Amino acid sequence: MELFVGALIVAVILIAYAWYVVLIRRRNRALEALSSIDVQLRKRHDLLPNILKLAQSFMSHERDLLTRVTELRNEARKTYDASNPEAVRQHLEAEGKLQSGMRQLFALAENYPELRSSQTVLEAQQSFASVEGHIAAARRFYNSAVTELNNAVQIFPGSLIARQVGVRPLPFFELEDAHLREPVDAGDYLAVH
Amino acid sequence: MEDYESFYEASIAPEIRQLEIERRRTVKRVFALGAVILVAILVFVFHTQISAAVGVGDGFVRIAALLAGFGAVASIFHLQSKMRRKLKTALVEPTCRFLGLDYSLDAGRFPLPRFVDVKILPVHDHVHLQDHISGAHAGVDFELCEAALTKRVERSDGKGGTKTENQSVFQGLLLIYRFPKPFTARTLVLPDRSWLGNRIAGFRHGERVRLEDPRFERIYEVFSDDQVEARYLLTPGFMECLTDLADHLGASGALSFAFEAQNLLIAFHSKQKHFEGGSLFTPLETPERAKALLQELKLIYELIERLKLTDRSHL
Repeated sequence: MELFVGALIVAVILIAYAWYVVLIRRRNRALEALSSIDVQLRKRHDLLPNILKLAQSFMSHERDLLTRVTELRNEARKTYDASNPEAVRQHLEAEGKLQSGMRQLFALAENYPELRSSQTVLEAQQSFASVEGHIAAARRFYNSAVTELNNAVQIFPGSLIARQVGVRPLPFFELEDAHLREPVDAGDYLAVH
Repeated sequence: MEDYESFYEASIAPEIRQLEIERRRTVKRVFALGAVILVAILVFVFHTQISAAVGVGDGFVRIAALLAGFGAVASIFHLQSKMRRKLKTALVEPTCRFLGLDYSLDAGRFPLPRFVDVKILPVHDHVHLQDHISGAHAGVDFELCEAALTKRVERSDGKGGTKTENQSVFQGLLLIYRFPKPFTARTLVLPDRSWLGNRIAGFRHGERVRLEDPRFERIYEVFSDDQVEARYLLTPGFMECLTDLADHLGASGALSFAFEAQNLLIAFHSKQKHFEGGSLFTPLETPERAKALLQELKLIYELIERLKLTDRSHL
């Protein structure tokens, strides 16, 4: 009997440890995916000043929008604590707003043929389309990693172990509206027709 | 098609008519050699009676039958191969030229090592490449060839010993297309090999990439050294193209893809031979022969269109 109880305890400890390993692995995987999103988002942030500078010279009437996009960029660039799900959610939300502002900017750029036909803009839009493609890919990687993490954290007995070791579910990187569920193709807005 | 018909009449048909005379001669020789093989088999079977009747040694009769039989088989292969080469020169080469493609029967210049390096071909010992075709369609550069790979395997001969045989491990087309998106990592899309098979394949091909499309996941398994770039290349739209292609070709499990050095490498495992120009035992002058060849060549363009390789965004 004592042997049986001992074996049972060892089995429970082993299962708990295995689950713990899975949880930590999945959390690290999600953090890795989050950092890959940040790498891509930084590329977007780096491209934005050039686009804004060009836009300012043609779109002087859209000063409010340009100022708002600049502010959103500054907001999205703020550092955050990747281990804090609420901070991650706010960071991703800020990025969503920036993307939304940029969509507006590109939509308005339609009305400025000189802007659309500028060689620099054409080059910028190509880089931008590529960056947006990578952001969409990084978002898919992140959401896939978060799904796995959240499943492990929320399903019993993972929920117990996760609480003990302080692993929490992470938020998904979701886009704000249905249009944004597709990556932005700047070419759609700026291409010379 | 009408253009091709007039091209066929003007440039291909005269050559084919000449070749038809030669084909009939070759077929007659093949049948004669077939008779030699039959006689050799009979002599080999009844060697005791024959050696007694003719008055020569039993061993001599058997060796003579074997030599005659093998000689006839080798001659048939030689005649067929010679005729096949002539047919390809007369039909396949000008048809490719008509379509603006470069054709070479010898595929020695085809970059096979690229396929070997990305490990999308089975392990093999011997390679036979032929029908090297290259060109461009809608701004997409491509080249392809037909490949037959064999591996030496040792089998028990049932008498306690072993015998070595060449076993076919791949027969099909190897294609290289210029891919419209820039990329740096190596990503492979291989046929799904069930739960355990995919895990074992992971040791050879790198980290697995789990994608969202369940239909795609049922047919393929993706391995890459960059999770983000794999998803950048395999967008939902492109995954759909790949599953549709497998459905269209009825080739689920026969298609492997590799993204390598700005190109999309495709290994299409198909048991049938390609660009042969049809059977040598039927008249060469039938128009169906050229139509079948055009249909085979259509696959090259179909891949570009079905995979939307001209579209840079793949969104």
